[in-house]
Amino acid sequence: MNETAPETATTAQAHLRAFDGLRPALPGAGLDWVEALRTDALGRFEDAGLPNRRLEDWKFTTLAALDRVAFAPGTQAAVTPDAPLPELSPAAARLVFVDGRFDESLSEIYAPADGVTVTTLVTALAKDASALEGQLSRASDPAGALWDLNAAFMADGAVIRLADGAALDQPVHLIFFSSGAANRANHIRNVIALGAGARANVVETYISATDTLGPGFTSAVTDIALADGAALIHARVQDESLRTVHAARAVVSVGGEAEYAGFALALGGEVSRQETDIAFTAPGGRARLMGAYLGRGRQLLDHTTRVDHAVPHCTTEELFKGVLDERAHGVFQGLIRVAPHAIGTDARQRNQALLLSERAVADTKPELEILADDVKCAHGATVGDLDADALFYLMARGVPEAEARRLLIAGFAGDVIERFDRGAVGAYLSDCVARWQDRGTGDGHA
Amino acid sequence: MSENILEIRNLHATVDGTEILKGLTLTLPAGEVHAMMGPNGSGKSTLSYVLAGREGYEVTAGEISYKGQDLLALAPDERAQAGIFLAFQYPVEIPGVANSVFLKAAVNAQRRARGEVELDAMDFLKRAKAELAALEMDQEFLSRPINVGFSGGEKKRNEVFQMAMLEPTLAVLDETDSGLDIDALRVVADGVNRLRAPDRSMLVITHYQRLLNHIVPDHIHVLAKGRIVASGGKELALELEEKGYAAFTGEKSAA
Ligand SMILES: Nc1ncnc2c1ncn2[C@@H]1O[C@H](COP(=O)(O)OP(=O)(O)OP(=O)(O)O)[C@@H](O)[C@H]1O
Ligand SMILES: [Mg+2]
Repeated sequence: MNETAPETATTAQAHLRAFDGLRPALPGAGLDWVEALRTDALGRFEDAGLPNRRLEDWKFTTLAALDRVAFAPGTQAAVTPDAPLPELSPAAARLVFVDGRFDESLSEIYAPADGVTVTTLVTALAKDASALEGQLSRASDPAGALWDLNAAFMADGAVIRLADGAALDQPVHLIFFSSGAANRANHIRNVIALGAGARANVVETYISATDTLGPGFTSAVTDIALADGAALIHARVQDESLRTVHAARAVVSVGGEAEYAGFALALGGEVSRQETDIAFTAPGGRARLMGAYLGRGRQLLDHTTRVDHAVPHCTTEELFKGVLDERAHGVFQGLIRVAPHAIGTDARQRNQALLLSERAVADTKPELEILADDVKCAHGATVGDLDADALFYLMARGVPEAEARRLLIAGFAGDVIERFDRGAVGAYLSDCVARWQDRGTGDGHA
Repeated sequence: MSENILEIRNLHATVDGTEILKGLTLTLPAGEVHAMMGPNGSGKSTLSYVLAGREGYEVTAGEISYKGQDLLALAPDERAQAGIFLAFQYPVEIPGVANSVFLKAAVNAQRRARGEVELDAMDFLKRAKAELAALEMDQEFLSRPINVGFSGGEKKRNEVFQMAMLEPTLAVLDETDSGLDIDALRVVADGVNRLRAPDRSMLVITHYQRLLNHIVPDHIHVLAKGRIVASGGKELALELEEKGYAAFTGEKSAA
């Protein structure tokens, strides 16, 4: 009666099976605390499984693609990049990771500075593991099974540390290239630690092979600790192939009077989820969380932010903008929690989506949990088409409609980029958006 | 040259189903500047939008010929490429789009349409800087987003700056003087006067005689309730200033 259906393996199963075999090849093998961290994370993952849409946090976004294909972690980089790597200049350093592994031949440190360490997770765990213990363990606090999977399998990533008062004026560019060969899953872990008063710019770019044959799964966690008075500008560009599932998380602790400015740009991916978790640890911290999502086809692009105002007098400014064409689906979820004693909190959140087609969808879920008095909190969301008055104004100067629309779309995204940064990082983000526009509909982007 | 740039005959136009222009006839010969005055709501801006081709402004009767061509057959961008320029009464703010990016796109779209070579970044910048200087405008205007955070007067100057860059054949200036201080009025009027040429015509919409001291028109028309109710020489503006519109519209003055 009961016929057993042919068993199609899932990503979860492929990972559980691969763990024991892969473990000795993962960084930190043999270190008790790393082994324990991986084992605990895997145990939690095994219990919970990948998130599904019954979870409140995953109401709009499905990871069903991870059940259709058994993405599996691996150790070797499959290919060398076939596409020109994106240029960000001037830059202090460029670190290239191919299928999650550092590629020294493609990487370069242009301008080493005093008190600045730029290295990889593999090297850092081999040379000075104890310096990483606090931060690596912290990001492995239970944050959901998706991130447990990353903790269990994290294979490499960048480690950037600045001593008290150190400064990196030019950005460090981290490029993560995935080949998409053989249903590969890449688990990336970056660690950024800025000492008191230190300043840095870090840009992460995620791209795929142009002629990729298979689908891919990228999981990337960047753990950031900002000591008092530190300032970080941190941009993440997700421009992977349309057959990629991209899951990324930035987890940030912001010290007293420190400032975190984060930008998450989603351009590629079949399903993309970029999370940002902010915890203020001392009064006077500031977070500027910005981002843009530009989707076509059937892409699903999700930005989820959680900000914990656990201490008084911290400021959060959030602005996200989406451009959704064809049947693209944009999701913005923003949780702001203000603890009972966190007086003087100022938190603002806005999400604006442009729907360029009748079949495009934008979902917004703001959540404000305010348990303190004497706070300023506001949120707002708008969904609409291009501004007809603006379109007419441009056309009345002779700009043809298609070009006028292009200018307005670039301007819509450009506005949030401009508010984020007017330097090299902002210029780079604008270039990425322009490349997205050049690709046009139909999409030569595999 | 006695050729007419613009001929409007018996124009009727509706906005959202309401008839605003009710049989308007106007001829604008090449090289002439005509002023149009009229009470609030009489249809001056409506006429300017109909000329520029704004969506929602429907022509239900009459015709408009521009340099002998049927204007109504052209899309807004084609009208601009053919040499029509509207200085907006309320210029639109467009965050994220820099003035220079926009204006370079506009200049080059027009040049392309006329079969001329496009300006490169250097040539464009050189011309833009010269025009800005002539209008006593700061060069950082170029990098600012279109009209965002501009004062009322700055927005109007920006319209005249764009007009100077685009060198139109027919310029329609809709209350370009409102919101300008006395010095700015002179600068803007000088800018407009520099553009006066035998092959260029202008329709200057204004409420104030003061502007017409600077930009001396060849003719003045009074628009009321969607129709031209009086036309005359520049002395008509003085008469209006003195008597108000009531004498021309056949109604009691509201004041
Ligand atoms: N969408 C609309 N639906 C109905 N009536 C409209 C609409 N838009 C404008 N109108 C009306 O059209 C009339 C003419 O407006 P218009 O802006 O052309 O006047 P104007 O002469 O430029 O006035 P002003 O001197 O105040 O600038 C006004 O009565 C206005 O209320
Ligand atoms: Mg008007």
